[in-house]
Parts: sequence; C-alpha cells; structure tokens
Amino acid sequence: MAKKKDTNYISIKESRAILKNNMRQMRYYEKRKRRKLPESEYTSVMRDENNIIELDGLETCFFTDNGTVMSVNGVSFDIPKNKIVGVVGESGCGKSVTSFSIMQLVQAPQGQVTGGQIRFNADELGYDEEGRKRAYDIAKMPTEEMYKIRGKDITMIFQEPMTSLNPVFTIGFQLDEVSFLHTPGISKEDAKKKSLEMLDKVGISIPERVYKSYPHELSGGMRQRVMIAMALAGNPKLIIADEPTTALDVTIQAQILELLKELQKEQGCSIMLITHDLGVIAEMADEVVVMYAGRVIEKGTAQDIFHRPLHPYTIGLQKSKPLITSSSQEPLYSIPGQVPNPINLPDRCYFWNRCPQCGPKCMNRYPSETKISDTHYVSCYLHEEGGESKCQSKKSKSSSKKKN
Amino acid sequence: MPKQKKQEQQQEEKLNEASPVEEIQTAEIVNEEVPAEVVNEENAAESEYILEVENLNKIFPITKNIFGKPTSVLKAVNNVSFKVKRGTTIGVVGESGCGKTTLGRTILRLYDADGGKIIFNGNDITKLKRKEMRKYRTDIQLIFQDPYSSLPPRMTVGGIIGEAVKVHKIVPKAEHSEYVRSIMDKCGLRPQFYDRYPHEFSGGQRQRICIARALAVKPKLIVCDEPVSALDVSIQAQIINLLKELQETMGLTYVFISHDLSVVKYITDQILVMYLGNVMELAETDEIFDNPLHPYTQALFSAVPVPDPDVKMKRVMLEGDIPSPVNPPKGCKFHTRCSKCMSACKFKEPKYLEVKPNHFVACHLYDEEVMNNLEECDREWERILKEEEEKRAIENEKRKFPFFGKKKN
Repeated sequence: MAKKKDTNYISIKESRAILKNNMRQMRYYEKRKRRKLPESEYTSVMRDENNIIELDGLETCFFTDNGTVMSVNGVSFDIPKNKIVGVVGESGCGKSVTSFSIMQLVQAPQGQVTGGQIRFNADELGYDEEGRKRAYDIAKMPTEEMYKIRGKDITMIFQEPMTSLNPVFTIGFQLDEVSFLHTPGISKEDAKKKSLEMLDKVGISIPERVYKSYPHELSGGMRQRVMIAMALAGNPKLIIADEPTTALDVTIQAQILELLKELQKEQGCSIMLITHDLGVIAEMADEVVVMYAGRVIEKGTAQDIFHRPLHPYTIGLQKSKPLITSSSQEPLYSIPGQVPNPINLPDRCYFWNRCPQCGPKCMNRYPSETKISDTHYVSCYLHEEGGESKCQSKKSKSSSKKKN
Repeated sequence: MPKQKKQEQQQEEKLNEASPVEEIQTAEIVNEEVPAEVVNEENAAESEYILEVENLNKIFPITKNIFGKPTSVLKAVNNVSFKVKRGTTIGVVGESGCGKTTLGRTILRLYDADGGKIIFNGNDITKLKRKEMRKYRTDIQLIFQDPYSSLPPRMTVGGIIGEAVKVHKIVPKAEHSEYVRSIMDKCGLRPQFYDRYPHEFSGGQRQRICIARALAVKPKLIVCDEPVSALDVSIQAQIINLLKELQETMGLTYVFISHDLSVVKYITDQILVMYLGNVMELAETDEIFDNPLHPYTQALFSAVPVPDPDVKMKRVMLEGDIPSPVNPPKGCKFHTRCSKCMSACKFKEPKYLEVKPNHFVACHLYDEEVMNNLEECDREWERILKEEEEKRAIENEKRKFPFFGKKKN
C-alpha cells in the first residue's frame, strides 16, 4: 500500500533488475572500447573546418545502483579554433563530465559515452573525396587509438593541482614523461631542455630549482603553473581547463587567468574553460555555453549571454551574484528550490519547478533549441517561434512586478 | 506527479501560515531577555560595541626544544584590533593563510589568545576559566565553512540542533522539540526533517542546518567562517538572504570571514583586510571600496573578476606568492609584493593609524613622520645593508678558517 508513497524507495526486485541491466550495458560498452576497429569506423566529417571540436548530441550515462543517471543528455556545441569557450553551470550539471567525455576519461565501467558524436579536427587525416575535412569521432574511438591524441592534441588542466600531481615524483620527472610519450626517440637532455623551457614559459622564475623539487614544496599558484606547463608540453590544439582557479586566491587567480590568456594567443590553441564563476567567464571567454541538469540551455557569444540573456535560469544566475561594482542593499534575487534529481528525469523542461515564468507547455516536452541570431541559441518555450507574442506579454508583466 | 506538486504547495502554504506566529513568540522571548541583561551587566548597556578586540596575538609553536620551549613560532594573528557595533557585520578579508580563520577561532576561544584582549559585552573573556567561559559559549556561535564535514552523520537533524539546547537548558524540557522545530522553520527547513539524517540533504540545506544549530542557543554574535564558499551561486544567494533576514529579525552581530569580496561587500558594514596575520586596512564598507588606501587592498579589489565582458578592470597585478608565515619579511609584511615599496618599508614596521575617521591603515605612505623623513630612512636602510654585509663577510671568513676565526676578531 505504501509502495508509491516514497519515490526514492527501490524494492529488492527492482534493484536486481537495475543491477542486471547495468552489468549488461557496461559489458557491451567496455567490449566496444577494446575492439580493434578499422579507421573508417571511427572517423567522421567536420561540419565546419574552422572548428577544433564539434559535440553533437553527446550522451554520457552513469549506471548506478539507483538507476541510470544521464549526466550529459544531448549536448551539442562547437569549439572554434583560436577561441576560448566557457562552460558555466552549477555543480552536478554535467560540465565536468562533458570534458571528461572529450578526453575519454569518464569513470569506467560505470560511466559510458552512450550516444552522439565528438568530432575532433585532426590535421593528419586530411580531406575526403568531397573536399570535406575528416575528423576523429572520439565517442567511438578505441582506447588504444585515444592514447595518440590524449595528452598531445587535447590536454587538460585539472581543478586541484595538489591531487593531480604525483607526490612521489619530482616535477621534472613528470614533465619529461610527456615528452617521452609523445615524441618517440627523444634524448633525456632534450626532454629536460624542453621541460625547462616550458617552466620558463609559464612564468616560473627559477625553472632549475622547480624542476628538481617535489609537488609539496610548491605553493598552490606554482603547482597550477606547473600543470599548465605540463598541458602545453605536447603543443596541444585544445586545452580543457576544468575549474583551473577555484582552489586559488583572488590575486593568484588573476595571475593564472592572465597567463592562460597570453599563452592562448601565443600558441594559437583553443581553450575550453569550465567554471561556475560568471566573473571568470566574462573576463576570459569569447563564447559561452550555459548548462543545466545535463543539457545546454543557452549558448552564444559572451556579449549575447551577459547583455541579452534569454533563458530564465541564465537571468537568475546573473542576478543572484552580488556585484562588486554595485552598492545596492536590496535582498539578492535567488532561484528557489534545488537542482532536480538526475535519475529518471521526465520529458519536460528540467527548470520548470524553479522557473518564475513556467507555463503549461513546459510540462509536456523538453523544449527544442531555438535560434535567436547566428550565434545565439536558447532552449525555452518563451522564445520559441510563434510563441513570441506570448512571451513578450509575460515579460512585461514580470518586469512591472519587479518595479513594484 | 501533479498530485505531489499539489501536496508540496499545500505544505509550503502551511509553513507560511505557521511562521508569523512563531516569529511573534520569539520576539516575546527576546523582549523578556533584554531587561535581565541590563541588570546583570551594567557595562553592556553603556557600550555600543558588542565586541572589542585589542592588540590580539596568537602564536603557534612549530619546533620545540627538549624542554618544550618553542624555538620557532608562527605568528598567525599579530596585533589585531577592531570594534564591532551591535547588530552590524564586520567582514574579514584576505588570502588563504593570512590568519582569518585563526582570528575567528580565537574570538570564540577555541584557541587561547597569547596576548591582547577580547572584550565581549564589556567583559574581557581572554582570561576566564573554562567554567566561567561556559556562560559565554551560548552568546558566541560559529558557522563552519564545509557543511559536508561539520555535521555528525549519526545524529538526526533534530538531535544536532537540539543538543546544545538541552545542555544549556535554553527551554524547559516539555517545550524542547517544539522549540527546535520553530528554529528549523525560521531557517527555511521543513519541520518534517526533524528525524532525518544529514546525508539526505543537499549542500544548501545542510548549511541551513548549521545555521539553525548556531541559532538554537540564542547567540548574540555569530562567527561565520566562509559560510557560502562551498555552495553554488544560486544556493549562495539563498543563504546570504537568510543570514541577512535573521540579522534584521533577531538583532544578530556577525563576524563574516570570507575570501569572496563581492559577497563581503554585499553583507558587511565594516571590512578588515588582513595579510600574513597583520591588519592592513580597516574601514566601513562603502568607504573602503570607494577609496582603498593600502596598496594591498587596491590590488585585492582590482583582482575580482566582474561578470560583464565589456568592463575591463584596471588591474593592479601582484607578483609572486604570499611569503611563508614562518619567517615573514622584515618591516612591512607586504613590501615583497608591493608596487610602491620604499626603503623605509624594508626595515620599519608601519604604524596602525587612523587616517580618516573610522578608516585605519597600516602603511608608510600615509604616515607623515616617515614621508617627511624619506632621506633619513634611505640612509638608515643603507646603514643596515652595510651592517648585514659585514656580518656576512665575517661569517664567510669563519667558515673558511673554523679554528682561527675567533682569534682574528
């Protein structure tokens, strides 16, 4: 009788079914990764030659004991060459999992890329018969092939420099390792010379001393610089920076961001910057992707997102952050409620229960992406074509309320 | 699903109805307390400051000799003085390792101060014994940074919030559970959560539990040690609003420790800027943001990223990292990273001066004595340098001739 009272409750029968299903799924995807495929199976064609990465309907699942969690649910966006793309969102919205999917570093076997394409624009593949640029599809790539790309063409800067450096090896050893892996036949002296050069490039004043020291001897800012040096060592085309400054102080954060910007211009690579700090995004990014509960809800250029935000979540996010430049003492706007439970999300707008402008339409189906301008896309019924008049009237109502 | 939603709505409505009644109750309680205080503590009624800190010092020994005497020490808090008015908020700002948290914990007497006074409600609490201190424990409370590690996982929410209430006998036993529920309601927690465990809650809810735990013993001063830095932006706003609302309704005083300057600016009335255990600047919030005087404050404020792609801040970039607090630089602690460093900064510790009313700065740039005698300072600095060189030369000679070194001198 009390079966339907608590939705979080799972009976033994259900739990067994979940486990069985999980085992089957995980075995299938693990096998697929280990297979040796011909190159044609995991190559694809780029939509635009000027993009370094195109994500197309990416889906990443975690098979947990409580059910399947769709951490990334149909995410599509592009990272153009020589640009910084910022990904913003609350914790648990899937921004880190997206980046791990690109690197094929999702916690396996529970986490698997189950659908969609990640097209990586590799120079060595050349063009196909119709003159289109060929690309690797990372979502289908076997692990063995991935070794060639990971750490060389795509590199990553992790959030916590303390935990991502190995404490039992010197900085020099760990830096040299990158050169040994990606330039076969390099001599020890050359590797050391290159490592020192990299350390010098990231603004470390005495590279020789840092080269010999262990990670615990360095401060947080220095460690993050070493991580950046390591990421740059393979001459990457794309750097994924996963919250590179969250663990650092404001003054050190300013230094690191400045450094990243300079290096990006100098090396001519792209950066995918993942953060929850809107200030950092505004400072660094050319294009912004806003994520919520595993989906992209709005994307556009920095100007689009910060000056003309359209999705209620983006607007709320910007309003709820106190500004250092303003001096108003009114209560802060806060988005009510919490991020929804990611297990078995029903097919409707995930923001419906926190949205101030939620309508009956939002409950039925997840809104599709609407094009506002060439660069600006939104998934919200308020801005869907044909529904514009409705949304305007709603907007005027809400604005009049705010004035009161 | 729509049924559930309806239920939730009904519950919320119930809550909204219930809350004003309880507010009135608490208001009565506060009213009853006030006369009692006046009788007990005459000083309290006179001074408008609830907390006065004078020349507070806290030292941690790092190495000790065989007799247990410290041979090298870390000065975590060094000569800090400030005053907080009733019902206002003071923000403590600084980089990590600058002694903000130590200052907060020393005010709570979780650490014993090594010098100076902490005057709470007109009484010096630094020299009280443990039993005497118990009286003040309920008056000063703490909210921790990490809501995930600061709640005991084996206790229910009601138990966590009600434990101190039981120990200090805040309310009669019969009213205990009702009182805890009223406190939970005030902090935006549903009374149904009484029997649940902390792991069932999200970060924001947990922080609400922490706040409820601190409020349950009717404190006058709350030390908030980075209460929002572990939370998401949208949840941050909820907690900040809650803290502000509680301050208005209950007349609380906050010591707000944080490294997020935009939050500090929003919530505080006064800001204390710290660097390596020393106070750099102290002023009212609007004054310090409009007119930061110390070079460190200027650099700190300009480093905060603004969420607007068109605004490009004029950055005062700081070079290098914070020096190790174990052997901090001589003279002004900040001179190694300062862009306006003079010779005087390198050997003379700056005085803590009131430059404008209620605006204190510890910097030689605003000390007229030093600024008028810059040449003298230069000469003295050269003299010190020479002395040091001579010392070094003697030491080097000693190293060369370890046996004859003494004879030669």
